[in-house]
Amino acid sequence: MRTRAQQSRDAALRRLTQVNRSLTLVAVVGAGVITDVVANTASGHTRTSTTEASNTAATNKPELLVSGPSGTTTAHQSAAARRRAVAAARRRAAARRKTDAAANTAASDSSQSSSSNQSLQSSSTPSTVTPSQSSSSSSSASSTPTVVAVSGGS
Amino acid sequence: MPIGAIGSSSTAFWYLTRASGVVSLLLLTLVVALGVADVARVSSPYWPRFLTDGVHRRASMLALVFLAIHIVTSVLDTYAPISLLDAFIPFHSAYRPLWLGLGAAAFDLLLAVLVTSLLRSRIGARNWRLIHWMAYACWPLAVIHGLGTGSDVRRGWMLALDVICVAVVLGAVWARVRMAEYPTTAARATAAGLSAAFVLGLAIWLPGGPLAAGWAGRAGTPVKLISSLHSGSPARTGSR
Repeated sequence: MRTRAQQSRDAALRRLTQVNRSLTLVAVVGAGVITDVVANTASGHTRTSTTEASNTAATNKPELLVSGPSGTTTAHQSAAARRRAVAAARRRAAARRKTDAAANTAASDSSQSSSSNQSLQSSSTPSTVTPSQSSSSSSSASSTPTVVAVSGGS
Repeated sequence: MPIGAIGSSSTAFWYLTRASGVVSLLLLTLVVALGVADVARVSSPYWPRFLTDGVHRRASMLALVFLAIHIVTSVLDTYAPISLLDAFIPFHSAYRPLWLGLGAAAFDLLLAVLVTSLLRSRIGARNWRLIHWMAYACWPLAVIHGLGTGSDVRRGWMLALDVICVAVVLGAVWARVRMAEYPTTAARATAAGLSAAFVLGLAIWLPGGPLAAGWAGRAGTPVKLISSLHSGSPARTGSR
């Protein structure tokens, strides 16, 4: 028969085990969360590969020179920046395809009916891009392509 | 970025270094606060004193584990030229020697506290207590190390965590002085003076230091590393 003191001691020991387990769990999960947070922030540095370095040197534009949070000017491209660059490149490619399709349609229409001299409505999306836009995605983050609006028709 | 993808990233060590450093600081803060609560004999029927002691020990072990991760990933991450020796010998590193050295000193102190705690029965309670007091010096060194070398110092969440850590430890120290059985005026004056000096020092140093532009160069980052990054070419101090 256990005494009341023994019961309270055993309960406290169980509590200690639970607290220690929770502490370990919180520390590990917290480390994971912070790792995720710092991976998505723009601070830090990246390992610039030789290919990227040569591309960067060719365009004479550092990949991303940003003053880091601790005043560190580092060439870094965080995961978020990479994702944004890829998404922007995809959007530009989609817009380019859309514009090309519209221009082809307009050209065929104008050839069929020469009297209708309609001009294509230029949308808000860029119509034509310079070849620099179709360069590799590694330099897409820093490249600012010249956008030339094309008015279709004859 | 999914956690699973981090493992395949070349910057995984860098992310882990930063995260483990932050978690270590938080755990060290918890260790100091629990140690103070333990000495102050804080207890209740629901929370006996040995629970505080047990959590204090577990948090210390966890802090050491995360410190080990912090050091190993710092060494493996070849962006900054940090060797394993730099983690043990203060002010030896070529990369931000002062601020990294403070971290190394804090780590050495923590190791001393750990070893003497394991050998407590052999060295005696009095000697153990004298060395254990160094934990109070270890924590501010770790805080300043994080502020001096941390990449996330300017982030709002990191600043908030730093403020919370400082507030928790200062509150614990002040409670310790107040709850002491025979608090002498000298002890109170010392605690108040050191606390005020630490906070005032941070308030003066931070705006012109880590929070100001160009801190990397002034902190002692090798010129070669900075110039190679400015030119856009890969920094080959190591492979980055």
